[in-house]
Amino acid sequence: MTVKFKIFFLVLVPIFFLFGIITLYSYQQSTVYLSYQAKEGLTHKAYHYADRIDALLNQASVVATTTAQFLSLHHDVSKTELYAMLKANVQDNSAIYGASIAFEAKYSPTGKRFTPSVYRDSSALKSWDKAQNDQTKSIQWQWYNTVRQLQRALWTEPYIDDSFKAVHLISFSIPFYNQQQFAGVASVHLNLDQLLSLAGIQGEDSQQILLISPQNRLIFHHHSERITQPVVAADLPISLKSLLSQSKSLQEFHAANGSVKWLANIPIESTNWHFLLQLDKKTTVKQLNQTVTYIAVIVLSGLMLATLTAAWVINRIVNPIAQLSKATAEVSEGHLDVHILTKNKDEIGQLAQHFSMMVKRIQEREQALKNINRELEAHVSQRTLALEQSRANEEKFVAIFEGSNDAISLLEGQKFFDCNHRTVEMFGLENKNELFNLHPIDLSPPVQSDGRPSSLAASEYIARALEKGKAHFEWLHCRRNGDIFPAEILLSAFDYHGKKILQATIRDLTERKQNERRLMRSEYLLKLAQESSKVGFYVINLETGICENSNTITRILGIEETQQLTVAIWSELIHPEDKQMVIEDYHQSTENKQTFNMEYRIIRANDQEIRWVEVYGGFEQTADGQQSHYLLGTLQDISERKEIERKLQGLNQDLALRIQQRTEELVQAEKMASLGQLITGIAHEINTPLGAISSAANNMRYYLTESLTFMPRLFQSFSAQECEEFLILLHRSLDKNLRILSAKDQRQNRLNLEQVLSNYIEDMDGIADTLVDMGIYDEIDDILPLLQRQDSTEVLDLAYKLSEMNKGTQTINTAAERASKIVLALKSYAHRDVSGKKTKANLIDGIETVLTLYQRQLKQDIELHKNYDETLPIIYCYPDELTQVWTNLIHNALQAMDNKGFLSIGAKREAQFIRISIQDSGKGIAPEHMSKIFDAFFTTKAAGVGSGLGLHIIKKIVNKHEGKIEVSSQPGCTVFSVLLPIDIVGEQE
Amino acid sequence: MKLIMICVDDEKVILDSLKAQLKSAFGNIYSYELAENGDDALELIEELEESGQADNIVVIVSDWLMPGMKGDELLIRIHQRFPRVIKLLLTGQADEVAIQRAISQANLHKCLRKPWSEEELVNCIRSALDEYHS
Repeated sequence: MTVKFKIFFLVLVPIFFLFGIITLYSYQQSTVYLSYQAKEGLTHKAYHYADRIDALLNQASVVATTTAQFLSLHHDVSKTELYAMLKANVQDNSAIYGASIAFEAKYSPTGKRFTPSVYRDSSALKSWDKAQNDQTKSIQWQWYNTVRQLQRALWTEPYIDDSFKAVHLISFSIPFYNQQQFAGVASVHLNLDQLLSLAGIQGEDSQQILLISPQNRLIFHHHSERITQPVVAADLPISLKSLLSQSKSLQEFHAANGSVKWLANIPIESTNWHFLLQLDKKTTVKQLNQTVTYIAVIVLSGLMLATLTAAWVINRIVNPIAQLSKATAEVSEGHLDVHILTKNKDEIGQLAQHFSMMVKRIQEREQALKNINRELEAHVSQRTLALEQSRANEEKFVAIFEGSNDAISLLEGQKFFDCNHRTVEMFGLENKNELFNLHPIDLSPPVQSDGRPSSLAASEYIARALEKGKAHFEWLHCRRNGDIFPAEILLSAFDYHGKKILQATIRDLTERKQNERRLMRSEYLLKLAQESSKVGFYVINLETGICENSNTITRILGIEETQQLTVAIWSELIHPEDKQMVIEDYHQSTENKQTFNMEYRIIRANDQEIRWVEVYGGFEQTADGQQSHYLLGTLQDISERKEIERKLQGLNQDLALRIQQRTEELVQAEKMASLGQLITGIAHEINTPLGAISSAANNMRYYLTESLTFMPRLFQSFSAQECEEFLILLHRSLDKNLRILSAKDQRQNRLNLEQVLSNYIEDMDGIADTLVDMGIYDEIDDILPLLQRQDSTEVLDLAYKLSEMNKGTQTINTAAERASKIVLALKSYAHRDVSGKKTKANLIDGIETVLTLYQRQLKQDIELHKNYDETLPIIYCYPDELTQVWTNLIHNALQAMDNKGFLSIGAKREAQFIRISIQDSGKGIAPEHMSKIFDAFFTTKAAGVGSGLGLHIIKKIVNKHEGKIEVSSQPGCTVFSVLLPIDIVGEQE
Repeated sequence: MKLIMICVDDEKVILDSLKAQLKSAFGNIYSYELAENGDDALELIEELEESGQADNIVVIVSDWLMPGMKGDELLIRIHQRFPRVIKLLLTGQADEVAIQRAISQANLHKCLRKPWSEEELVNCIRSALDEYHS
């Protein structure tokens, strides 16, 4: 950091900021102080005005009081004296505008109401009897009435009295007495405007004054109509009452226009008025602030000026030093051509001059040194160039010699004297020196591959090289560890410093020989592979149509081995049925230059046998990624594979057929298994009607015998009338047989009938019971005579027996119907439709058949609800298989709830489907089983109880109908829904 | 007041034929009451009790397999209040456990297999009644 900046930042800037902060602080403090002073001034001024007003009011009240005291003492004052007294009152006191005395008529010098009054009219005084003047009105003077009423001295509220020239007045009134009796009121009146000017309130102050009476009436305000208005001051929006009630003499409040005001509130003791003086805070503060701001600005400007001056002075002193310092720095860096220009004659100026001279000396010395240097450098560079050229040559040779992948060695006679690193490596030597002690024969096996001894052969090659200049031959070498390896040797002879030198370049052929062997091996293997897999390869030149191929292809195609295969010959061999396809595929592939894969038949050339071949092909890729006109590929005889495939297909079809058969057998078995479960119940179902039939038949036989015995005798005893009645009885019994009553109703009827009969018959032993059995339980008037006969029991018995016979036939009918219904259900259940065609059927009939078979189980603890849409269409379906669906679903439902609970069967139309839903209140299907329930052989029942095929078969049947099956299950509510498409047209008949 | 035989079966046809067989065998000496299930039977007995005829019940023939209360349970409950009543069970199924229970807990007189023969039924009741009256 330079000196200049140090002075700026460490001295001037802090001083500037310090003074600035002090100024700002003082500015703030003086604002607060001045604002306080302004408030104080306001309060003080308000006190001053209030005191003055108070003093004036006191003066006036004293005048009135004196008059009243005088009148209380002197009762016989003449009119003239009174007027004179009043005039004196007004004249002596400049604050008093007018004075009056009001006498009660009783004590008046005139004997009637008398009110002598005096007031200032312009500068003169005017006197008159106010009572006379205001005679038209009843006397309503405030200054009189209130005082008369209250009988005490008081200041009135401000008012306007027309007879006093309509100025704003206030009056001080005081009663006087005549022998303790109220005699009248002495009063002085003050003009409010005059009062304020007398108090010295002028100019701007008068604009900010308010006077408020104890009754909160505005006595004076420069804006308002004043006096009579209760205070709703324009400039005092807040409740004045709350302002006035506060004891603080100075308050701050917000006026209606939003400005903030200060208000001094001073009470005037004599009248209990409030004297208010307000000041606009903003205006006041603004004025004060302006003043303070001016001062602050002046102070800050001074400060700034002082700082700038200081800065300029520092700059003047520091700049030359900085220049000198810069020059010194440049000299120390070696730049000697610096010039310091200074006009200063002070110490700094002299320093600069001495410095300039010193620099000049140094410059001269340096120039001399430079010249000597230049000469030296020229010598050195000449020498260096020469050296570098010779070294580069040598390096080049060494690089070639050492970098070669061939072993290069130099021999003189038959002795090595130099070699490259590769030689050491190739022969497995420890270092070059080891080689120098060896003879070339030491690095060869005793015998070469052609059987000659190495020493002999070596001498021969060396001799040839020396003679002809070089020798090139293959040689077997031997490493130091004994490994023999093939090599290629080039011997070159040349003269060096008068000596014959041989250079031997040895190339290791181990790797090349190995590669040759590998290639041969893989060719052999390829050949073997082709022959064993019957895959042959071919290369077709598309331009000539000539085909190069392996022997395998010749054999597959059955052509002579000597025959040249061409595209034409090949295509001749293709089976006529496949030819078209092959040619199309081939053309397509060759046009698009794609690879192809074809399977087709050929007719073998030699034995005309049909064989299957598989042909792959693709275009040869040249090195630059283009496709050449050579088509390469393989051809394989796949006849055996084809044969196996054909057999496999046959087996598959056979298997599918057998699976289908087996599934059908299983489905039927499952059906029979369900039937087996039903048989017990069905046996009972058939037993019941059979029992009924047998018992009815027995009864009928018995009744017939009995009737035949009694009938002729009874009929003989009947009169014509009785005969008629008997027939009626019989007919009624027979007619009503149709109506079947419950046992309970029957009993009730019997009891009722017994009640009725007891009116007619004393001994009705069993009559009622018999009648009810016959179906007669009311309207017995017709048959009463019969019942009242002596032998009524026998008559009735005969009728009963005859009716029972009828009933027996009905019982037999009903029972037989029931049995046949069950038999029919069984028959239709076990029915197996072999046509495999859909037939028309009503789904509800099918469901009802199943329900008939399950009647026994359902009758016990199952609450069965049927909810059929009766308008469902009759559809084409496989009714027998659907019967199995319903059986399984109902059976499962019953098992799921242990034959106890709620079973609901619904059938309704849903768009193009009929939805049959079977809901049970059983334990439900566990969620983890849900996905598996339709799988074959999945069952949660104990082994041997369920086959696990039920739902699987249902699913298959529903699928066969192209329908859907849905399941939803939770404990207490499992619903299986089968949706069958509405197929009302059916398949082609 | 007549003695009472009660038949209980959920099949009205069976009930009617039972009553016909009993009536033709035992005539008007007995009154024959019918009920279509266990609850109705108990209700009937209650009504008879109210009219003071409960002691006249002598025979109850009940089917075993009925909706709701089964025959053995009905007979057991009747036995608890009317131990002397002759109780017969009619059944199409051989639920041996239920029969054994009825024998041990309801003093079952006889269990008849459906379809029953009228002769067997009548003889059975007749012999029981002889025993009852002696």
